[in-house]
Amino acid sequence: MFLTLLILTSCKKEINKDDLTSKSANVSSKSATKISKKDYELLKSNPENNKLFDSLLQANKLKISKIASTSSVANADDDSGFYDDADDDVYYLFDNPGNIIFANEWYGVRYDVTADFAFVKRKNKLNVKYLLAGVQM
Amino acid sequence: MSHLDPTVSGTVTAYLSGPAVGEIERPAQPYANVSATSSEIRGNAAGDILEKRTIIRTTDGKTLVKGGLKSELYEAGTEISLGISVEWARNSISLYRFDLTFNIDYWQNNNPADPRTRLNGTATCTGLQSN
Repeated sequence: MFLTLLILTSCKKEINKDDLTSKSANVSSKSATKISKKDYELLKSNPENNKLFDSLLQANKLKISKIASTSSVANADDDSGFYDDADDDVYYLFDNPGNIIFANEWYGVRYDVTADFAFVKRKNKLNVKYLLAGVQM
Repeated sequence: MSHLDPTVSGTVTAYLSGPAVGEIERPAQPYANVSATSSEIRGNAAGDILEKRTIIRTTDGKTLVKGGLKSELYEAGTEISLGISVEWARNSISLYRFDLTFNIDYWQNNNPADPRTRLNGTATCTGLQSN
């Protein structure tokens, strides 16, 4: 039954909020993908390896309907009492998050970095934002 | 791009949003570091947030969440509205911690105006998870 539900929701998904925000950004793809602690630590120890990032992103995107839909995970995990004092750890890969304010060959770049971490147990979000400026020398 | 001199402009902002968020305290200002190679900007960012809240269970089965540590104001039995009193109240402190690594690649399409940004991040919430 869970499988049919997954198929149904994936077929029905024509326009959702993520699609709308990706249209408002001037980048082609924009996504936040939940990953495991192991993947996070592997990437953290290989920060220069873009190919590793891309392959982990692809691999985890395939599982996205299972782990990234907050409602199903929240219901399964929201057994307060049992989980009362446990840590809530989340790991994400962000692909083109935020907005490019401008980027060009002559002046450099201003990039508005955003990263939102959704916590399952408390159902709240940690929002992180900062602005990078790169000046062309 | 021949040579970029990147900086973090202003401060790193980190805040919480959700159905029951308490009072926020920052033990230290969140930070970001940045450096550049000829084709990429690399960096990291991290920070901590303390969230302080008081969780109050009322006799009609509802849970109230107030910002700050105020459980002493809500002793069991205190009437807070007509016929409804406090069943129990407790203070709660949660620590949120985030850690991000990022790079911005300018040459993904041989076009510096269309960079690709990759961010690898984690966030942890330690403390009471239920309201």
